[in-house]
Amino acid sequence: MSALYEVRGLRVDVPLGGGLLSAVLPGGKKTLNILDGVDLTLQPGETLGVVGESGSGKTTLARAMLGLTPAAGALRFQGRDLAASDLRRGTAMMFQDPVSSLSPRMRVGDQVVEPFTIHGIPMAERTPAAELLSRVGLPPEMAARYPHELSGGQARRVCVARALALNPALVIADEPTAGLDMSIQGEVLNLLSALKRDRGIGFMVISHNLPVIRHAADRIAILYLGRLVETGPTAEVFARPAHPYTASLIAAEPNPDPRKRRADLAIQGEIPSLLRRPTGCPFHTRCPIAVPDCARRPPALTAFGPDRRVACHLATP
Amino acid sequence: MSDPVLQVRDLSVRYGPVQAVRGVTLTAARGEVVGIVGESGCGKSTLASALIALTAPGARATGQIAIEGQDLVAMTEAQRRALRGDRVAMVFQDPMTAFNPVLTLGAQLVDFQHRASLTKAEKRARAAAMLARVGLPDPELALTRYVHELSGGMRQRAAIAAALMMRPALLIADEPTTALDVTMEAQILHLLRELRRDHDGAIVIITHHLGVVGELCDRVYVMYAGQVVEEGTVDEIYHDPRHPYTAALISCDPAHIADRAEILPTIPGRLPDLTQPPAGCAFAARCTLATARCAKPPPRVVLSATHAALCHEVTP
Repeated sequence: MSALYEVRGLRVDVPLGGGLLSAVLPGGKKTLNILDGVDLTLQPGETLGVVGESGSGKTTLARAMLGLTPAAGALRFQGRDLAASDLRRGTAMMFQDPVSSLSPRMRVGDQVVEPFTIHGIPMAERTPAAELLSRVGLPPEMAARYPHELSGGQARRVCVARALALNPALVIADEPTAGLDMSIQGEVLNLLSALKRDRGIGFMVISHNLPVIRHAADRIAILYLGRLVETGPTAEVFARPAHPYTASLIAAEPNPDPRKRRADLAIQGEIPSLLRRPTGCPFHTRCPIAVPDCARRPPALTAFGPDRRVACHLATP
Repeated sequence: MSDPVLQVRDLSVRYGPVQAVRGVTLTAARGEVVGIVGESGCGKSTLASALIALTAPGARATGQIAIEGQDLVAMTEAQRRALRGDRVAMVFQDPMTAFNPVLTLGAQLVDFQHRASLTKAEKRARAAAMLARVGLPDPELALTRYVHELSGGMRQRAAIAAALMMRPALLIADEPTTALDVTMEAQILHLLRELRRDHDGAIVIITHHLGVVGELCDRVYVMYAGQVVEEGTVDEIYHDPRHPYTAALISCDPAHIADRAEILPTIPGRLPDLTQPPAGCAFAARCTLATARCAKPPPRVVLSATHAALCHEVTP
C-alpha cells in the first residue's frame, strides 16, 4: 500500500524583506529558516500527532504540506507530487480558531456546502448540508444559524463537517481542542477517531497538548525549532522517550494527581529565537545531558529500533 | 490559628439578569494555596475579579468578602483602591496586557510602590531584587526593557514580581499559565511553589487545568454554574471526589487516563441558563445519579473537617 502523504527533506525559508530585521542579522541574511530536513510518512487511516512548543514550526509544516507556503524538498500526496496530485479535493484543513475560520455573514448550512461550489461539483453529487451536519452530530436546524450563535464545541463540529464535505483522504487539524472545556474536548476527539475508523480518513493532529495527543495519535512526531527530533509509535515514545527533549516535555506536563507531585524542575530555559538558532543540535542549550560535541555537529535523524527515529548524538537503542 | 486572610461569605454577583456567582462561601488562610477550578461559564473569573473588586461595570455583588477582616463589598471605592495592589494583588492570564506597553518595566515597578515611603533609588533596588527573585536573568537590564521585549514566560515572571512588590496578604492568579507552553508552565508552577515559602499571605489560583491544581494547591473549590459544588484538600478532591460533577470532570481529563482510550469520556449536555438558574441542583440535568429530589436545592453535606459537597446523593 502506498503512503497517503510523504514528506522528504522539507525545508521552508521565509523572506525577511529589506527591513531593519535583515540589517541587524549576522551576515545580512535575507531569509529566515523555519523548517529543515523534515521527513514524515503518513499512512491511510492513520493519525499522526505533531507536537512542539510555540515557534517549533508545527503550523508551517501543515501549511507547506497543503501547498499554502513555498517549500523545498519532496512532498508527495497519494504517491504524486503536489502539483500533479488531487491535493485540494483530497485534503482539508481544520484551522486553530474555528470561529474565525467560519464566515460571520454566512449561515452554517451554506458554509458546509461551499466546497462543492468551489470545486464545481454537479448538484446531483452534492451531499445535503443536513447530512453533513448529522455526520458530526449536529441537528439539521443548525444549518440556519450564524457562527456567532454557536458554542465553541459546535463551531468546531461545523469545521469538521465542512472539512468532510469532499470526502478527503487527509484532514489536517491544527489544535483541534484548543480553547475547549475538558468535558467537550473528548467529544471532538471521539468524533475524529470515529471518522478515522468509519471512513478511513488519515489525520494529522497538531497540538502542544500532550495528554490529548497521547489518546488521539497512532504515531507522533516531535518538532523543536523547526527540526524533527523524534518520531515513532505514540505508546512507545511516551513509554520510553529517546530524545531528551521528548523526555523533558513529558515530564513538564503538570500532573493532576497531588500524590505524584514533582519536586524538581523538568526543563530549564526557553526555546531560543529562530533568529539565533544554536549551532549543532538546536536543543543543546537546554539539554540536561549535552556534551561539547552537541554544540558542534547537528545530529542526523537516525533509526532507533523498528519504526522509530531520533536526532540525538547520545541516543542509544 | 489566626483569622483567615480571605473570608468570603454567601457572595453573589449578578450582571443584569445573569447570576454569575451564586452564594459562594470560601476561605484562604495565611501560607495556603487555594485553587478554584471549573469550566468556562462556571463563574470562577467573576469570582476572581470580585475578590479584588474589579468586576465589570454593571456587576452587583452581595454578601461579604473580608480581606484581613475588612469587607470589600461594604467599603467605599476609595478604600478599595487603597487596598488593591497593597493588601491584595492579581496576576492575570495575559501578562502583555497587564503592563503598560509604552513605559519601561522599571518605571512601572517603581510606580507600583507609590504608597511606600522610600526614595526612588530604593524602590528601583527593591524592584531589581524582586525581578531577581522571580528568576529574570540580569534584573538591572530588565528594568530598562519594555514588555514587548520580553518572552511570554519572562513577562509572566515580571507580572508575578509586580504583584508581589508590596507584599500583599492575598495574591490572586487567574489562569496564570494558560497562555504559556508546557515547559514555561512547569517553570512558572515551580516558581509559584518556591515563592509560597517566603510569601506569608494566601494565594488563590483560578484555573480550568486540573494539572495546575494537582501540582500547586493545598485545598480546592470546584465550581459549577456559579456555585461551589465541592470543596476539600487536593487529595480528597482528586482521590475521593464525591460530587458527580467533580467525578465526571476528573474522569474527562485525558491526563487522568493512563492507557490510550479510543473513546474518551465526556459530560453530555450544557450549562443551565444563568439568567434563570434551576431552583434545585444545577447539575441535575447532566447528572447520571439524578432523582426526583434533585429538583429541590441540594444540601451541603459535610464529609470531613475539610471536605464538603453540595448534593442530595452524597452521604457522609
